[in-house]
Amino acid sequence: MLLTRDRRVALPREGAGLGVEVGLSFPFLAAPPPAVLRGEESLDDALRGAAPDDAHAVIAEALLRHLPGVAPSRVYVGNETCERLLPTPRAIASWVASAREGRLAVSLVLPPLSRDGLSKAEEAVRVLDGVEASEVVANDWGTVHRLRSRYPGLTIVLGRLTHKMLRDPRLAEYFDSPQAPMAARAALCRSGELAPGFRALMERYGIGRREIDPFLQPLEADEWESRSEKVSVHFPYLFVTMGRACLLGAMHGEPVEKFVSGAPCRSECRKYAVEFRLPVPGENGAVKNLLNRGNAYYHVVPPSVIERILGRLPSSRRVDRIVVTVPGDGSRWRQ
Amino acid sequence: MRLTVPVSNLEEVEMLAENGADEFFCGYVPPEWLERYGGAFWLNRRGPVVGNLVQRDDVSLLVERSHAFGIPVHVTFNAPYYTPEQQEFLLPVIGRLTRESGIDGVIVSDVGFLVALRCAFPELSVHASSVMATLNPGMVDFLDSLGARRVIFPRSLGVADIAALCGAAAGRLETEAFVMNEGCVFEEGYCMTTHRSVGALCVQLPGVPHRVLPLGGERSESLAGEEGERARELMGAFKDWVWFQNGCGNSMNSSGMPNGPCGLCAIFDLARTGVTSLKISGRGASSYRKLVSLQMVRGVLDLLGRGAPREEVARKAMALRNTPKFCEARYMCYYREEAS
Repeated sequence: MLLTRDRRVALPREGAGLGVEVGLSFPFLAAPPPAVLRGEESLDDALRGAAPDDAHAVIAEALLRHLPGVAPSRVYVGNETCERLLPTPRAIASWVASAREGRLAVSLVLPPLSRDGLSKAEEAVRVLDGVEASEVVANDWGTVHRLRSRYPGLTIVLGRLTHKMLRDPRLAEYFDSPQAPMAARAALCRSGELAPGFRALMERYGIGRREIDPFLQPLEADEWESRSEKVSVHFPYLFVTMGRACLLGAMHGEPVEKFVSGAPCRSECRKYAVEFRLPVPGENGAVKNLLNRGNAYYHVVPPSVIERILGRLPSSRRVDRIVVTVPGDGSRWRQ
Repeated sequence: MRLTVPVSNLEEVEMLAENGADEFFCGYVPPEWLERYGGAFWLNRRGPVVGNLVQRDDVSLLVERSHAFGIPVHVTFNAPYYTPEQQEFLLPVIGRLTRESGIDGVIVSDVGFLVALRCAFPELSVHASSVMATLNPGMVDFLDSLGARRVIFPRSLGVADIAALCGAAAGRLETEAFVMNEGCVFEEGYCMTTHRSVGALCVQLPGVPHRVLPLGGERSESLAGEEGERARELMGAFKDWVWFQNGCGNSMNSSGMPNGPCGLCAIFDLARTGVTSLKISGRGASSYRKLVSLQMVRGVLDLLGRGAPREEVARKAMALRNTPKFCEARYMCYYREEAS
């Protein structure tokens, strides 16, 4: 079984899990989950017991097998698509205090930000000043630019929303089809991030880490390894799309108020999800899952993708972190 | 405010110029690109062929005719990203378009490609596409630092946000905001889906099996009672909204006017933001749709130019549309909070 720090003397950063760090992401939880942060509940027990996402049981089992001894050493706070879920400075301070108690590092996740959101994010980031091993995950270049100019010493990670590649679950598994032109296959299985212009930006802004999705199409080896920065991979949700108008946030509004960008909501995303079943073209009734979480849509990747990506970790020079988004609203850990 | 208009073939130039276009944008897909990628990787957001020019001579002629009317032409290279090999292919293409065809600039979405372009062609005008999702003043500063000439705002921004970002860009960057025709249910710059082969995901979603699930319950659990009813209403409204955002089932109404997303009644407010240009989108639309759209926007701008008050401008805009029920629904509006 996977071990928490309470059951193991060595810190995960000191060698457990083949040196691969695991972060737990709580995108919908406002307050820290003490049991997990104190190491009182094992990662696999927590994930296995979570309903309704069977994928988390698969993840727990696969992590155990591929990264023996691994335990969470980092928590991700904040939501990558909605600035209404940006934690207040007070909430972040609470997360930081709890994480310090459990010797966990903190990553503050920022969504693509509006002008108001950017102002709030700057306040939130101040809380991390002097917090060891803390970092900010930015999902738009405007935020990167602003934070770097105001906080030269801040560790900024490029969030997976900035990794421009197609992830459409209806088609992605066909992207490396032998029937596709060779050049097209290559282009659909890599990004533009190894081009000189993008490299210059990474250097200019001192970006040392990039987050990426669990792609359905097999990425070319260069996309993983020919980078100067370290790579974190998210599981089990593949980001597909988002809107600034929120589906669930429109649940309680009057018709004319629904689907307005940035409109008020009742945080319905913390209570509900919408599950879509997308027909697969030409597959006679086969469907792909698509999960709406507020203003974003995700695809829960199949075990074969998890296996393919975790299987490359022992030989990877760049991938040294896995980020697991907790199922549901994360409230299981509130007690 | 200037008026930026799509153009897809030579025959449209004179018609659109005579009806008040101030700037043109077009797409160009060289045959070599199609040989390499077929329809699998679109060079720009309309592809692989529809709405694009495919011969460089046609681009040259289009530019020549446009310049005769004093109208600049920008060519769009706004795929969300280009691989290193694609960038190596495209840089000489853009070099020839600039030197030999006389284009005035390009529109791009890939931040790394923007850097490469500025390095290769320091004098070239580069517009940052709406696909770059400029949502905050930090992005304006970022684009300015990279030498972009103009920022095209995404459709999700309201007038107040546009005003604030125009303020941030003042004296440094030109700005552009959508005024008619093409919608996007999602945030275009963060949508990783493709319209290729399977169509737009947003259009498909309301029609596929779905259910609203309470979190923390069993997988088979579904919503009941009042919340269940709200969930059903929500998904019905979602279907309506997607329908309006995608042209109301038909890109033209029975009066011959274009359906689809619209900011006509917000033009009075947009004018006060200081935005440089209003954009009519739809390179793939028919010449007729382009023409009527242009005439509608120009009609409202002319009224504004004669000093009409806000309410009169909004009334005129809705009268031009002649679909009051669509306007009342507000799901067709780009600028929902400002809709009159």
